[in-house]
Amino acid sequence: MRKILVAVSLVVFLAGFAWSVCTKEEQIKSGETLIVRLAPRDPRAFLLGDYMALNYAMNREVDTALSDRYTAGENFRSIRRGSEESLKLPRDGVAVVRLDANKVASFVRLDDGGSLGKDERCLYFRVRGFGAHIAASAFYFQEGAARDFDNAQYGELRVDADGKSLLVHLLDDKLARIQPQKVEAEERQ
Amino acid sequence: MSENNNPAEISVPSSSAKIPRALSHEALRIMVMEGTLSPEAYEAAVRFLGIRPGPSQWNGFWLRIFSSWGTLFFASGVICFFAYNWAQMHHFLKFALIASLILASGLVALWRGLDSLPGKLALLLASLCVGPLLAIYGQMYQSGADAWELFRAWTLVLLPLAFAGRQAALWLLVWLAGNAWGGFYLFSLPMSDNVFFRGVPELLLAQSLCLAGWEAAAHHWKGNMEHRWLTATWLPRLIGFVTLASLTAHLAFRIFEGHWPDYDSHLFLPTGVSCTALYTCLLLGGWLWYRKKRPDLFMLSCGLFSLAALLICGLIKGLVSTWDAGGLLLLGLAIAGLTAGCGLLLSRLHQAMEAEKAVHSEPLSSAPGFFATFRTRFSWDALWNYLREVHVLVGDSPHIPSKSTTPWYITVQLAIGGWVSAIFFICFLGTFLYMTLGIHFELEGPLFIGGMIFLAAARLLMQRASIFTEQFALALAIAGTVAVAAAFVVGTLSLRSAERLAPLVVALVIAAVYPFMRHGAYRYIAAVCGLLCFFGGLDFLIWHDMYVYAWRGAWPYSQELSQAMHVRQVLYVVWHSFLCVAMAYGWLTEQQWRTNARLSGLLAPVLHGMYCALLVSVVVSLGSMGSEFWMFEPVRSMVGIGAGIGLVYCAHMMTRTLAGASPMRLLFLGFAILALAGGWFLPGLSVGLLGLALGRYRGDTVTLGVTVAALIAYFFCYYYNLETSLLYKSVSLMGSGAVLCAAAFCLYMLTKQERAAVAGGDHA
Repeated sequence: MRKILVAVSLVVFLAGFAWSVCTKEEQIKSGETLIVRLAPRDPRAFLLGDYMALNYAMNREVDTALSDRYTAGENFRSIRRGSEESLKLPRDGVAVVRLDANKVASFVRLDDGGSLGKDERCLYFRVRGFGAHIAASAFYFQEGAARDFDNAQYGELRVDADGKSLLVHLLDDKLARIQPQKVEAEERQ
Repeated sequence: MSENNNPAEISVPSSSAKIPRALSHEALRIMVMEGTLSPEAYEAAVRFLGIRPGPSQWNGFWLRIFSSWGTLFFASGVICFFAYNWAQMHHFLKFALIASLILASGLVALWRGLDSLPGKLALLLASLCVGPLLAIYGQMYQSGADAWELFRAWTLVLLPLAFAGRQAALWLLVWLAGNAWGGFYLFSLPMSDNVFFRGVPELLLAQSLCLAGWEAAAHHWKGNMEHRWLTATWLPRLIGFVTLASLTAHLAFRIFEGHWPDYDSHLFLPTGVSCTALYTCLLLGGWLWYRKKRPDLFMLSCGLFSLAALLICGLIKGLVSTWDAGGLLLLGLAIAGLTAGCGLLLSRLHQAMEAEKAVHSEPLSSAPGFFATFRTRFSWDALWNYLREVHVLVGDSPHIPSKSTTPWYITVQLAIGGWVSAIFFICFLGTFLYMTLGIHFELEGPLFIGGMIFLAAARLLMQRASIFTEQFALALAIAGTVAVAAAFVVGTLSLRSAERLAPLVVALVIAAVYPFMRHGAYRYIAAVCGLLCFFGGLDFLIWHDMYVYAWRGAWPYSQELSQAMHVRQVLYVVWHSFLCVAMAYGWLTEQQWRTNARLSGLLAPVLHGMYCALLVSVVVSLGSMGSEFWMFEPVRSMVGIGAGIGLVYCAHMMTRTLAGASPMRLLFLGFAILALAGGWFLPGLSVGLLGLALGRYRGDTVTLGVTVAALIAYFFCYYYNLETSLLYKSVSLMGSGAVLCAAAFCLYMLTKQERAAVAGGDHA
């Protein structure tokens, strides 16, 4: 009985894990590419290994829109923590963004259920801690590669139909993907 | 710290004292100190009871240690390897590697049986590796998901495994992962940056339910051999301690800050009311349960000291508004009095509970324990009969003492109380000199005189053996030592370029005061501080200029520096091997000096302090200054080498009685030499093994527990230490894990042959 329990839970876990990996792989393969501008923030170290803490330029715009809608224009960040106003804020939501020719996204409005324009897409965001996050707030990389990502300007996302995103690459100011090994090789030359 | 390092036993007359106490190591130790048992008889008794391990107990002990540590080291190596986040390795390969490790260890667990040692460890390894697998998923698919989702998944996978696995270690893992889930969830709530105040009642209620669930299960399956694992007391103690400590901290904040509108928001339950209610329920329920149903003095002492801490917070809040000398003195006295009162209550309880244990002892109801330091199946009469048989006891059975030594946790709590009241005494002295007498310059003279008055008062109080006078004496002694040391430091700082002598001066002051203060806890604290100051001071004296460079961030990378480093390495290896060998020598010859009460009181705290200083230097050096000059990698390795030399000495001395080339002796010497080499890569490994060897030799569960806890802290700091690459850490951890498992396997095969030989001999 106990052995069956061990076997079943391990197999169920690994199967569920594999299924989850498949859906994410599918999203990477067929999800829509969307590029968002980064607001500079220092690279930091260690948790699931080394990572760079990310902030997105659009986070602030979403904050402002949320303040207009839920707190009567009062600055989102100045609300007293734990106050009545702060509890009115949603835990997550959907923003509508517009893509330019390079697929770089800019904020349009919070989703109000209306139909999307031609170049408009949905982007799912979460409200955590001090404000909204439109995508992953950390980028994990191999230990020691922190310097290579210093000149990251954009993040490349893959977005599914609901607007849920995966951060897949960091891009430089020319929208080229940053490959750590390449930077190293160039430096050596 | 250990049960026997406090030579001042507390003797409380009580009606229950007439019933002879249960057979215990502690009772034997008191008898040999009182002279009712000869050292030879004591030695024979501890060997008979398994407290002092014989060859088969040593084998069993090291088999368990090598295999469990090997597994944990290996799992830590796996965690470091995947945290390195190797970019060139395809993520599918990473998934496949770790998933196959989980499957393989799951299969080993099923093959060897979930109750066998390899099966248990394999299941633990599989459960541990689920974490890194989920972490790689998080690294790879950066979806902005919250960290609590990862821990939720881990907790949910662990739960069925823990139900099936029936081992406390797995439940510890469930508890840790579940806590991380709850904690990270609270952090993720919108606009909440203070996890202490939002959702706290829910989290603490969940913790209390965990504790209650464990206790209910342990009670339900009491005496059931299949569920003997539930008799492990360390896990409920840990959960109870953490829950009570967080509740106490929360309520203490409330006492100081009064009403907090900002933090009074809540998830479901109103924070203030529910925390107070939960605290009351926990204390009352805990009292009933741990006094009547399952007596456990540790839990009772936690409750009592938590109550005392809250009372002290209330007092500070009420009295400290004036900040005058009188108020501070009053507070110091009140804290010392309160903690002493708790100590008195607890020692009475201890007496009563020991007596009850003697009446209702159920020797076979509990598991033998991981370290197996005591065989419970013997009675006093059986022991006396054995001692007569081997001719170390003649005549009547010795008188069994009714008094008992203070358990280690009460000593620790009293020592903390002493420290806190000492802080107020020092503040009193400072305020008195500065504000009342108006002494602003040349402070060292008055400070010295004040400190000496404190020390003299402490010395006088120590002559009376009552817990109250002792507690006041402890606080005064700490305050006095600090004041006198501060006076000397102020004096040296005012002299030109004498500041490099400051730490050595502190060490000298401590050494001078030490013999006069007959208090176990004081001497223990003094020994640790004195040893750290002495060696740190020596190091600082020689390398003072380098420290100054490092402090200013202008580090001269030069030929000179690297030569200086070599000399420094030699200094470190000489000091640490001296420390370890001296400590081992001291403990191995314990029976010779234990009978001399004066010598024993002087020596035991120093020997404990030596190991504690070693642990502090190896753990703290990782966490604190990182790549600074102070303790960088090659220097830190020397601590490991020193401990390794101590281990080789221990192995030599402990196996001396075996024949010169007996395979056992060669094996253990080989292990010690391997550990010496391992100490270079992982100083924590050899330091930990030395603590375990000496702790097990002495049958001292407290040293063993402290060693394991320190090793866990060491790994935590090691992971976050930025000096060495995660890849290097992963290789050294997996390598030493594999070596430890191989050592366990060797031991298993060797003892298998021996067991077979013994069985064969019996047949013949």
